Amino acid sequence: MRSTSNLAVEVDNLKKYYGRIKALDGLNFKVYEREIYGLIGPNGAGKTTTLRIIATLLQPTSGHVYVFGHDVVEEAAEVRKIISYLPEEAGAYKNLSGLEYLHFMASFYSKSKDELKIMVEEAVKISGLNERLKDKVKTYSKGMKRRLLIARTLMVHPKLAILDEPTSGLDVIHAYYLRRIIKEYVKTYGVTVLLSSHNMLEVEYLCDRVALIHKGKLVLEGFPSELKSKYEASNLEEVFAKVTQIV
Amino acid sequence: MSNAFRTLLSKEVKETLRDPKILIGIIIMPMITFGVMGFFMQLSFKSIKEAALKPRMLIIDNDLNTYSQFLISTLKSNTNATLKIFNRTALSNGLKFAEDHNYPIIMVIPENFTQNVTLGLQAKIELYTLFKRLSLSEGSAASMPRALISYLNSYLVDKKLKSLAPNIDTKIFLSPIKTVNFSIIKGRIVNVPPESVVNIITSQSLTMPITVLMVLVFAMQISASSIAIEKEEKTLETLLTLPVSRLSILGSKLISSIIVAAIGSSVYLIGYTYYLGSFSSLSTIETSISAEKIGLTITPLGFTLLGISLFLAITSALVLSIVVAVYAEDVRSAQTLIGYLYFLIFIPSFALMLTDINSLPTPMKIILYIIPYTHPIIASKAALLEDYLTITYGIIYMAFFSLILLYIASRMFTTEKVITAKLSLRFKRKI
Repeated sequence: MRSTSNLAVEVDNLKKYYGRIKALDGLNFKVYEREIYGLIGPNGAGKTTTLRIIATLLQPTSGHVYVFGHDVVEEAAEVRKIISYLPEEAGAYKNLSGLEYLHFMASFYSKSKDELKIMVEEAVKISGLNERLKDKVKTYSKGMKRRLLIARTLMVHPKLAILDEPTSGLDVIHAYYLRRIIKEYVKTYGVTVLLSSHNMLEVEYLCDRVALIHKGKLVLEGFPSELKSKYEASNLEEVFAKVTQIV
Repeated sequence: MSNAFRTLLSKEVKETLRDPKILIGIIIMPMITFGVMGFFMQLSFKSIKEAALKPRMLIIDNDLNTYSQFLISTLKSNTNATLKIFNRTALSNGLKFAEDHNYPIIMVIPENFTQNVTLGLQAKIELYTLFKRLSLSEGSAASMPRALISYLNSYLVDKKLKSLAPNIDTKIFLSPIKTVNFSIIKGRIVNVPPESVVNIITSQSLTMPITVLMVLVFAMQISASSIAIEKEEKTLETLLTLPVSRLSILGSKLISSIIVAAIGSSVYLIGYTYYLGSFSSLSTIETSISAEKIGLTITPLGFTLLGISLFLAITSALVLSIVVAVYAEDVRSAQTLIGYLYFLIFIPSFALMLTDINSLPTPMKIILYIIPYTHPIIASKAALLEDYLTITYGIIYMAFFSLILLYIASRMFTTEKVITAKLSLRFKRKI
């Protein structure tokens, strides 16, 4: 483990190849503790690959990634103890009830029955699914499933929550509900969040800092307000359009 | 067992047993199938038995003399047959009556029957079996009258011989040489004809391959589904980022598959035993000889080795199916891929069901020995013959095979291969 001051994630010259296809080409960025950091970029830019490497699912071809000082390759088991990852297309075990699913997930992070109970109670609150949690997951709508999964990700109080497109495919009501939950939760518990999104409104609303990735490289990084004024844009969508055109 | 592992295992078993496809496919369907098959078999055998023991018989007595009366009175007093007797009638009349009133057997005693018997000429009895429904029970209905005629034959021979030579033993006179059959099993002489031993060996050599086949096929289906369903339902990525060792995840999938396969196989075997049991109701005379009686039993050591052999076969089959299923993206494609492996189980099971491996040509023998799933089948026979060396060789080979597979599977689970592996069907892309 290397010493870090207030660094949550450090990505250093990260490269990833899938056979001959280059997914990441020397990516560098840092995420500080208690901030919400957003990765934006067009499809195939390398956002999901980056998040998967940080979540210990994929291994870098070269370069290093540290999560709170732990190397994601060498100390993958340590990293898994402090992160909670929500993939873009995540599902839940359809033959378990929502409550059973939450119990199952919480049991890997809790050290006692009391702690487990607290985690599940918190997830119940976050999900807002109430009585429906007693039903099997296969009866849930897409929005309900995503609420359950966000609740599962946040209930364990991770040091780093990795959210890949947290509101993808959700209607306005569900998306609004989840964004509000994430923002409140981070404020209350001081969790660091690294997320990716296509939705610029979401990124602007949620993130303290954003990074634009294009063709596996970081092309822009900063505070949303700073970026908007730099590119004389009224919102991040305009910034995104201007930057991807000139790249 | 660690808490995390227990939690994973409990989730795996719960998910699998709650899956309607698995519940129906491996528990409910075999129960219904064998139950229904067994029920109909028993029903059919019951009717055969009834037809044989309580035949409905129409007798046309054109003799109306001593021996025809003797035959009829013996039938009446010693059997449960339902008799309808016509005196001096043409066969065509009797046939019409038999057809209309469901008498499958017509016995015609000709006019000069008693006279021929008395004069020492060959007398004739005509037995007609009526096939109206082409059923087995119709065919078996003639067995009792035939037995009775045979009894009458012996009676007449005995009577004739006694009249010629009062001190003669008819049995010895008719069969001056008697064969006494013995079988030597495991060096022990038993007073049992070889046919009975063959019957036992056949039933045992059928049971084990079928058991191995079913257990392995169930286990492979379940373990392949358990990994493929994680991919299909998009739960695998989350599972792999949990603070639990990847080997625990692999182990829980293997053990849960063994548990569910054991449940499935038990249900199958119960059903199969019930189905086989339905055949035993066919035999009217108790002729069965138990395996214990002739010394064809398995010692505790044999059982232990056989257990190890089966365990290793199951373990390697599970790991093999997981390794293959990692390349599938959903349950359906996983099942298809697993289907390609079934030949490894089907070939030894069917080849060794009725053949001994040593009687096969050498190339065939080598192929079978290479297939790991041959060994538990060989072991079942070797255990009966207390040939522990053969079982041990099989165990060593299967342990080696399982270890290699476990190493491959653990490499897959501890690297990104479990996420990125896909079977590239290059020929498809070219089209």
